[in-house]
Amino acid sequence: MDGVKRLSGTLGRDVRYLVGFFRARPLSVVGLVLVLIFVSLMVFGRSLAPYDPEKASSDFLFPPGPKHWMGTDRAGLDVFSRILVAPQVDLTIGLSAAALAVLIGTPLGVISGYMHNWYGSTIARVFDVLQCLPPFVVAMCLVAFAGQSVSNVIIVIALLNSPLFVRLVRSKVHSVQERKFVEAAACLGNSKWRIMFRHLLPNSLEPVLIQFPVNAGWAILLTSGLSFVGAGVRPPTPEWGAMIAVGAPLLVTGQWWVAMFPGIAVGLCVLGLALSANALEILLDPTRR
Amino acid sequence: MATKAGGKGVQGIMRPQVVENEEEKSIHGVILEVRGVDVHFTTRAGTAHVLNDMGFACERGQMIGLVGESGSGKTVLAGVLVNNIRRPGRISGGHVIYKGHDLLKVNEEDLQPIRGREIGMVVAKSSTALNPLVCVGDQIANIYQSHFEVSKEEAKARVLAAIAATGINDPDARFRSFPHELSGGMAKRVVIAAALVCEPTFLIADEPTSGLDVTIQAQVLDSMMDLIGQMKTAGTLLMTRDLGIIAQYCTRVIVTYAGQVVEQGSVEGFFQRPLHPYSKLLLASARLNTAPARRFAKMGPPPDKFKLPDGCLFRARCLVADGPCQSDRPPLLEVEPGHLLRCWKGEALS
Amino acid sequence: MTSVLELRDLVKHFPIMGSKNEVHAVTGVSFTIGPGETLGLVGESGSGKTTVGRCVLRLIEPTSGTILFRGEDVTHIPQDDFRQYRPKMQMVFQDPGDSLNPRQLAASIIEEPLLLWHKCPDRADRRRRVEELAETVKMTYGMLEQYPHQMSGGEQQRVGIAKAIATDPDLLILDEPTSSLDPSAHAEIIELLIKLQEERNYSYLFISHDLMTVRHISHRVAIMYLSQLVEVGTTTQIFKEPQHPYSRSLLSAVLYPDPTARRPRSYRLQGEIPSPIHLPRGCYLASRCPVAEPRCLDSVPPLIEIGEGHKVACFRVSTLDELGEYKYAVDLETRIT
Repeated sequence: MDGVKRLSGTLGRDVRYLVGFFRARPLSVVGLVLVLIFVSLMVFGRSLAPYDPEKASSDFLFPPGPKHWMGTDRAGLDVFSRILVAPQVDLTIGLSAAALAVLIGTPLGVISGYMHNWYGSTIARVFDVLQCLPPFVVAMCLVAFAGQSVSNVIIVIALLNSPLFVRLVRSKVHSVQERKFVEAAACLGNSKWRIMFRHLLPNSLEPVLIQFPVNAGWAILLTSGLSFVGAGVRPPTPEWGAMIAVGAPLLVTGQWWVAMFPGIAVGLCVLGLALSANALEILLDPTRR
Repeated sequence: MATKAGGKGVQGIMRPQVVENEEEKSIHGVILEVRGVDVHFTTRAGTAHVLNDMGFACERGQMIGLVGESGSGKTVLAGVLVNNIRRPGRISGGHVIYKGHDLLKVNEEDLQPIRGREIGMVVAKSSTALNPLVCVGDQIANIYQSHFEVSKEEAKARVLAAIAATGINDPDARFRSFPHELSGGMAKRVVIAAALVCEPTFLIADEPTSGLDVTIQAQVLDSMMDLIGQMKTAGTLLMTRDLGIIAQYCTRVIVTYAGQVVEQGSVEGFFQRPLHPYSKLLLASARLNTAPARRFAKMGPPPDKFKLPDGCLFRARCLVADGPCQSDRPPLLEVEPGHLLRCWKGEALS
Repeated sequence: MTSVLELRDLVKHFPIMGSKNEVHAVTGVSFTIGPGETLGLVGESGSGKTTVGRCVLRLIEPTSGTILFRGEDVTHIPQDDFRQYRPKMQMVFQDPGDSLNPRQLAASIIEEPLLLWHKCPDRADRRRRVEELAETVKMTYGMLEQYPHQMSGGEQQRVGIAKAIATDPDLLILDEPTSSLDPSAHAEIIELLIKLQEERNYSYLFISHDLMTVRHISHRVAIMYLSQLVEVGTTTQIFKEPQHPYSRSLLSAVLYPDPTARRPRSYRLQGEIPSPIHLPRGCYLASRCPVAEPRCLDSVPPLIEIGEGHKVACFRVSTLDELGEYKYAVDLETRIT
């Protein structure tokens, strides 16, 4: 692709551009740092955790203190350790599910947006119907059917999320194809497929990039619900969503730390992803240089 | 010389009472004078100098054609004339003198009666000038009523007369139309009616016919000129890229480049003998034969606004530039009576 | 000598959704373009001139009529078969900023036709060809590594032209190629196009409403009003002796960059253009024509030859007054056939 070719040919200029880019946008640096933190937790979390995140202890419902920095939950599990290890599951599921949804939804969105024949509309209708199904119930059924494992959870969530991307890309393609360069491409002799994937697709990715981190966050939350009913990750595997689900009723009784810390963690993670996606979207857009 | 703005009388135009006072009879009949205006825009990428020492004067009865290509700062100039430059733009220096007052120093409330009432503006994009939710007649009536204490009926009659005077056939129907119902030519005429309804002393027309068909353009310009003549607008500034419009409708021409005036003179004098290398290039381009201008100037981009060069702003494209052109910016000087030129090579070129 | 392009009675109607009516965009247009020749197709908005161009390139399907490209009937052949003709007929679009893919470098844009049509299998060869094309359209090599939005309008249009001539076409359709450009860029592009035609014998269908430019670049001119051809002839014939009232009103509206050129004020058209959905029964101009007669409202005047390739569609053609005012004081150059 042109972007890559350009980078390798003009390395000095591009490095300087990147430095300037980040200097001017401090928030994107924040995003990048957050993502790096969570990604490294995926790798190093377990070794950094002070306690075994899956081993129950007798320190039930300790508030945050010197022994347990973020307190413990009902089973005596250290919240801090669990938060550190959770990215292994959450980020894996969140990012993979969102990425898979993008991979499924985007090409189908391009095709259904550009091909104004029966299969273009069929794709759109099929995914519209998919989107109408109650996600939670469908997820439960599919996981129950296929078996409870991380990869199945990822596939199920991706399938449930893809209609969104189909719709996003489809509507962006509708407007992009009105632009003259698409007609010019047809005039030059491009086949329909080349037009779709060489001209329309690269110009329709903007909403996808922006939606991706939000989607990853939603995947994390959906996993929590699934874990709660036993269709997702099996307890006591540390997983933010499950921790929030377990800790939510405790908020009323005053043990705020069980749900609050994982909640903040999810928020920060999604924030980091969102800021990074924003920066990435600007970086990849040649018209903003 | 054929009349540029001849007046056919149109019945029924009622003029509100205009109080003539001393300030109107200014020195040398100058109505509006711009002196040494600098405008810059502060962005993340740096400071862009959009207008640099912009200045000109409009005398009573003049129809000035201001020609500038993209990047010359035309539209920003229109904003300056009504002191309507907002952040990130800032007017960093200069004066806009109207009836003895410097509009750049007047405060906002005192500017309101001038904008629209005494200085009217025909904006370039009629699609953005009109509120899509209100019928056009009411929009113009609102403008009129905001400046004059009249009843609704009187305002409506005045607006109908203004609309009719722009050459629209069925003013009543057009009064009640919404902007999206109007064709391009009609929308432009409505915008012109709105600009002229208060009978301003000075009119700014920013690309009044861009995007219009050839025959419509001629009709709209003719109507506009007739209307200006009838309403006795004292001076007009017509901004355009089209030298044909200037040749056929204007009495004086100003050539702008990189936010500066580079040449100014009468239309006859200019079209016969443009002096500045850029003017030569513009005129040759308008005649679709750039060969005669090629030994004076070459094609190229305007100078980088973020980093204006020393010396003459045109020197990168000038083929007759030498020593002083590289280091000092030439001033705007009167090389012949009524003909101003900003060029060190003035004597050699004239 | 076979003509490069011949149109016979081209018709294009656009159906309106939810209605039996149609928009009559093009009604019975016929003309010929020879090798190395420029035909200026003139009209205002709604005249159908752009639709004609798009029909020729089969970007939209003609309703009826015949399109002959180098003598071969290409009107209704399937798109897949038509594709082989595309390298030989290309288009230069009006708004170069919008007609170039914003995510493609200029080099890649110019290279694309070479890739599509397997012109230079070897990559280095291709690169050289792209550089040659850039030189031909007076682009610097540095511009090749830029994105469209980093260039000025004139430079963007050069990229558009380089892309269009990459496959060495016989016919170039230029749809208002300079109307969005500054006057100096406009002049340069027109000079470039003329030079290319002289060197490579391209045929041009130059679609525009800018009469001055049409006069400069065209050998012959065809004027359209509301989907029909009203007058056809050589540039000299049309500009020195226009016969149709619409042609005269168009020419009287031209604003020459010369304050001494007087503008004739007769032949003004009244009113607004009729709707292209419900076309009038008689001459389409009759409702606005200053010299209309009763018979003009009854039937459509046919396009009749009045001498040496000069055709007019007007009942009053032989009885119109002396031209008088149409002879401008200033005699500008025209392209002599």
